[in-house]
Amino acid sequence: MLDWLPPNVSTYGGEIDYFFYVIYYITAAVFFLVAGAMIFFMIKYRFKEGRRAIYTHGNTTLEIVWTTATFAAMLILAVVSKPLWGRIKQQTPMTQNMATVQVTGKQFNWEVLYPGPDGEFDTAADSAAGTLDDYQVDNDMHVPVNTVVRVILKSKDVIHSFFVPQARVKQDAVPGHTISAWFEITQPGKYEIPCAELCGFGHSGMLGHLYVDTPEEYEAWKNEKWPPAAADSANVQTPEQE
Amino acid sequence: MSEATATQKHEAHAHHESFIRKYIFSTDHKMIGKQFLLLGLLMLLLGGGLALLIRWQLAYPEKPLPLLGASKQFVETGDPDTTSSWDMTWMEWLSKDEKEQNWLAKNVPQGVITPAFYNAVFTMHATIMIFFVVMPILVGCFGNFLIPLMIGTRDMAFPTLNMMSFWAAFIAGILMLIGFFVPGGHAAAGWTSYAPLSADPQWTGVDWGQNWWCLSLIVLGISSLMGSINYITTIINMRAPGMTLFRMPLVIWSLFIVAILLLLALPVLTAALAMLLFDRMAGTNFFNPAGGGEVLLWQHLFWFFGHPEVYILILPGMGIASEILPVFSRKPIFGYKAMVWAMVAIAFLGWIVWGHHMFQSGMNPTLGFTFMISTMIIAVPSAIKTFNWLGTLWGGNLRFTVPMLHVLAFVSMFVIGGLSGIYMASTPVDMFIHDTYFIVAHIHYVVFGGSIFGIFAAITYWFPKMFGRMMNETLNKIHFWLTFIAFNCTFFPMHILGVGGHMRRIYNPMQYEFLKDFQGMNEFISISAFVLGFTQLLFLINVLYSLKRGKQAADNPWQANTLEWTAIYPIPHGNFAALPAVYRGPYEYSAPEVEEDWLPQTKKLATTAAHGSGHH
Amino acid sequence: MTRLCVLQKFTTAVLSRALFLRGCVTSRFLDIHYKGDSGFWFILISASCLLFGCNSNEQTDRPEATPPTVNQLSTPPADSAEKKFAGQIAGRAFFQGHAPARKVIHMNQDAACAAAEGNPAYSEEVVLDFGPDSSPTGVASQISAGKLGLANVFVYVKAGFPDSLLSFFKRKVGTMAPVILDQRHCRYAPHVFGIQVGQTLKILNSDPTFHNVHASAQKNKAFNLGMSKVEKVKTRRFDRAEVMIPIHCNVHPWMSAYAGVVDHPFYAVTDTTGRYALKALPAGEYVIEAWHEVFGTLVQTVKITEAETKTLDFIFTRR
Repeated sequence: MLDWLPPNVSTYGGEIDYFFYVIYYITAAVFFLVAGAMIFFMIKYRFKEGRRAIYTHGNTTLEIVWTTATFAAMLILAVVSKPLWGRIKQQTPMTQNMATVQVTGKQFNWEVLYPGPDGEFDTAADSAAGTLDDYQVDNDMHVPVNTVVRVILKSKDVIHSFFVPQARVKQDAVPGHTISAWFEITQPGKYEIPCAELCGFGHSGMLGHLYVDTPEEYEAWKNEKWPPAAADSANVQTPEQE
Repeated sequence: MSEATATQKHEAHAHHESFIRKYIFSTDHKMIGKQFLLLGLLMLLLGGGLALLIRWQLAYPEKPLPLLGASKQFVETGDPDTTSSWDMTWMEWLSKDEKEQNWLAKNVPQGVITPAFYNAVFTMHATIMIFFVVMPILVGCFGNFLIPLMIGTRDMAFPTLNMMSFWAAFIAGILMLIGFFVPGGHAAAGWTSYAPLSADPQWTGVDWGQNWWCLSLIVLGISSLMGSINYITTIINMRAPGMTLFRMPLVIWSLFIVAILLLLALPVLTAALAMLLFDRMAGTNFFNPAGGGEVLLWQHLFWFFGHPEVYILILPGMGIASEILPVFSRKPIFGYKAMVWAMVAIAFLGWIVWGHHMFQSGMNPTLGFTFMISTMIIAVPSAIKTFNWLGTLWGGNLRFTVPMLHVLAFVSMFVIGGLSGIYMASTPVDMFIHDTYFIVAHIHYVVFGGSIFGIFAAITYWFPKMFGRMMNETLNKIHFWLTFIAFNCTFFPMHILGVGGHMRRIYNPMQYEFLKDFQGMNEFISISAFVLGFTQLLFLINVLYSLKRGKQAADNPWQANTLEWTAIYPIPHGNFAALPAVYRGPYEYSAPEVEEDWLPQTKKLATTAAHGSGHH
Repeated sequence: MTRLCVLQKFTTAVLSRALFLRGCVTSRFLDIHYKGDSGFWFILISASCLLFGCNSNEQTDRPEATPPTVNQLSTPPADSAEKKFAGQIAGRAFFQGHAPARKVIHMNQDAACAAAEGNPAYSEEVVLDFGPDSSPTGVASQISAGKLGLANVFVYVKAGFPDSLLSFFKRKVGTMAPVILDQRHCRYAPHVFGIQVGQTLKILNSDPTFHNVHASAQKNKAFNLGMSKVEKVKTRRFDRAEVMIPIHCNVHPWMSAYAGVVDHPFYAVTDTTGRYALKALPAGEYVIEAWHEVFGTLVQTVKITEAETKTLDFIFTRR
C-alpha cells in the first residue's frame, strides 16, 4: 500500500516514511492476527447441535497481559515519534545558506514574497531609504536544491494549508498568526503546492508551483529577478494593495 | 394500591388514547424511540444521497448528473442541442433572472454540480449523518427503547421531557433542511465549520444557510440534553430489584456513559455555535483576528466537543456488539468488568485528546506531543474491547444470524478504523496524511464500519421486540453481504488515495498533476459507492415490508437472557405486568445450572438466592 | 386619499353596519322585523357619503413636497427621447507627470486564460492615451510635459439634484436595462462601470474556466459569487449609493473591476482617450467628482443653464 506514497525528495521526508512503514507493519500484523483469529473462531466454533459453549466469564491474567502489552506498544510509539516531530515543527535548522520565503495564503492563491539580495524583508525604513528589493509573485516559488528553506506562513483571509506532498511538509497558514515551517529538498524539479485546508469554493485548484533549482538555475533566476547592475529594475513590484 | 391494579388502571387509561396522543405526542418511551428511528432513517436517505453526489463529482468531474443533466454538447460548448427537449428546458431555466431561477438551475446548472454547491454537499452529508442519523438512531431510538425495558422499569423518569426531546430534534431537523433553500445556499464550510471561513459570509458567499446550520445544532443540543437527563436519572434511580449496576447489560452501560458525555460536551458546542452566530450576525470578533479575536479558538472549542462526540457515536455500537455477541455465541461476554472499565476509560480519555485534530493547525507543537501521548493511549481500551469480543467468540457455539453477521462486521471494520487511527496519532506521519483521504477512510471505517453496522445489528436484532414481527432473513442476508463488500470496496481504497496525498474536500482531483494517476481509483470508489448506496434501499424495503407482512415473532426469538425479551408484544404502556426481579447478570449462556444454553436474568431457580444478593 | 376621506369612509362603514345589526338584534329580541328600518338608514348614510363625500379614485398626484431649488419639474427628464433637458457636462480626464510603467500580468496559472489573452498582458490600473502613434505599452520612462488622456475615470454628479428628482430617478429604475459585467479572457469587462441604486447588474462568465465575483462593499452587502463554467449568468442589485465598490476574482488575482453605485443615471466612465459626457441634465449647480483607482479623486463645481454644454476637464497627477 505504501508504494503509493509520492516519491520522497526531502531530508526529513525519509524519516516520516520510516515511521509510516513501522506503523504499517505493526497495524498489518495486528489486523491479520485479529482477523485471522476471528475467522478461525468463526469456523471452529460454528454452531453444532448438542455442543455446549465454554462457560467462562473471562480471564483476568489475560486482561492484564494484553492491556499492558498494548499500553507499552502505544507509549513507545509516541515516545519515539517525538524527536522527529520536535525537529520538524519546533526548530528550524539555522544553516549558513538557508533561503527564506514568505508565503501568504489568500483565496485562492499563494502569494510568495522573496526578501531579495539583502536577505531581509522590506520594512518602512527601506521604503523611506529607497532600498526596496522584495519581489512578490503569485503561485511561483523558487528555491535552491539541498538548501534549508524556511517558509514564513501567513494568511490574508481564511485558513489555508501549505502542502508539498513529495517533501512531506504540511503547515496550516492561519490569519492572525505568523508560522514558520521548513524543508530541504534533495532533488531538483517542479513540485505542486496544493492548499490542504478548505478555504472556500475555489479551494480545489488553489495551486502553487515549487521550482527546486540546481545552483545554476537558481543563480539564473535570481539574476533575472534582481539584475545585478541595473539601477532601475523594471520588474520590481511592491506588495499589492488590498 | 397494588402493583397489578396500578398497571391495570394504567392500561385502561391507555386504551382510550387518541391517535395523536399515541403516535404523535406520545410520552411512551417505546413510541418515542420509534419516532427517532423514523427521523434517522429518513435523514439517512438524504445524507446517503448527498454522498452519492460527492462521489459522482469526484469520479466524473464537472460532468452532468445522469437523468438530470443536459447534453454533452450543451455542457461543453454552451450551445444547447435543439432537438432535446431537456436541453431546451435547461436553457429556459438558466436564462431566467437569478432571483427567479429554480433550485436546480442555481445549484446544478445543466446538471453539473457547482463548486459552491459541492462544498455545501459534503458539509451537509457529514452534518446530517452525524447529527441526524447516527445520534438519533443509536442514542435517540435505542436509548429510549431499550433503557426502561432492559433495566426493568415502566418508562423513563421524565416521560414528558422525553417527548419534548424528540420534538426538539424534529424542529432541529426542519431548521437544518431550511438551509438548502435560502439564497446563498447551505452551510459550506465543512461539518467542522472552521473559522474564519464560517465566521464571515464574504468568504463563502453563504449567508443564512450557515446561520440555520448553527441554530439547528443549538436546538439539537437542547434535545440531546433533555435526553441525557432522562437516561442518567432513569438508569441510576429506576432499576428493577436485583439489577445492580454490574448486572446491567453492556448496551445500557454504553448508553449511560454516552448520556454523560453528551451532557458535558454539548454545552461546549452550543457556546461555540453561539459565538459563531454572534460573529456572523452581531458584528462580534471572537474568531476574527482583525478585531482582536483568535481563529484557533474555534478549533479548540469545536474539537473539545468534537472528540467526545465521536466516542458518543461509537460507544452505543460497542454496547450493541457486546450485547449481541454473547447471545449468538451462547456464552457470557468475556471480561464483563473489563468491558465496563474500558468504556469508562474511553469516556475519560476522550476529553484529553482533542488536539490531535489540530496537530498541523499552528497550535504550539509542544502540545502536539502531549496530545500524541493521550491519543496513543486511548487506543488501549478499544483494543481491550476487541480482545474481549474475540474472547467471547472463542469456545462459543456460534449462530450466524443476521444481527450476528452485522456485529462481526462491526468488530472487524472497527478494528481497521482503529488501526488507521494510529497513523494519525503519530504527529510526524500526521503531517502528511492530515486533510487527505486517509482521514476520510478512517472516519468512514469507524462511523460506517462501526456505528452504521451497529445500527443494522440493532435494528435486525430488536425488530421483533419493537414491531412484533421478524424481518425477511434472506433479504437481510443479501443486504448484509452486498453492504459489507461494497463498503470495503468503497472505503479501503481511500487509504491508498490518502497515502498518495489526495486532499480532502476538493472538487476536481484532475486539477493536480500528482493526482492524475488516482483518477481510476476515484472512479472505482464511486461505482462501489453507488452499489453501496442503492443496496441500502433493500434494507429500507425490508423494514417497511416486514412491518406489515413480516412473520409474527415469538416473544423471545433469539432465546436471549435480558429483560426486554420478557415483555410481551404489543408491549403495553408500563411495559411489564409486574415489575421483574433480577437474579443474575445478563450473559448467563451455557450456564451449568440449567440444561438449556440460556438462563434469563429474571428466572428464579431453586438454587437461586434472594434477588438482592449473589454475584453476577 | 386624504384623511378626511378616510374618516368619511370609515364612519359610513361602521354606522351602516351598526344600524343594520341593531335592526337584526332588536328584531330578534323583540321578535319584530325591524330590518326595513335599519336598512333605510344604511342606504341614506351610504348614499350621502357617495354623493357628497370623497372620491376614492384619485388620479391626480399632488407632488409631495415643493422642490426647494430653481427648477419646478412637471414632466420626467433624462429620457433621451423626450429631450426635455439638454444640459451637458463633458470633458476629458488627463494625467500629467511621469507616467508609470504598465504592469505586466502573468496569466499562465490558468491555461484557459493564457490561451485567450495575447502575450504579454497588461494591467488595467493605469491606461493612458499616448496619442495616435502610441504603442500598447506606452513608453516606459516617458517624461511628459503635456497631458495624457486617462481612461477608466469614473465621473458622476456627486450633488446637485433636488429630492424630487432623486425620487423620480428611483421610480424609473425598474424600466432600465441591466448593466452588464462580463468575465471574458480572464478580465472583467468593463473595468470600471456605473450603476444606479436598485438597477440590475447582470454578471456573465464568458470564459471556459472558474471565476468568482467578490464585491468588497462597505455600505452595501458584500457578496462573493462563484461562477463555474456552467454558471454563465448571475444577477445582483445594490441598495445604497457607494463610490466605489472594488470587485475582484479570488482565483485570478489580476482581475479587478470597480462599481460606482449612485442614485441617479448621470455618470460616465472615460474612454481610452479620456473623454466623457454627462448628457440631458436639467439646469442647475452640480458638484462633479472624478475618481481614478490609482490617482484618487478630484472634485469640481459647475453651473449650467437649460441646454447649455459646459466643458469640465480633470487633471490627475501622481500622488
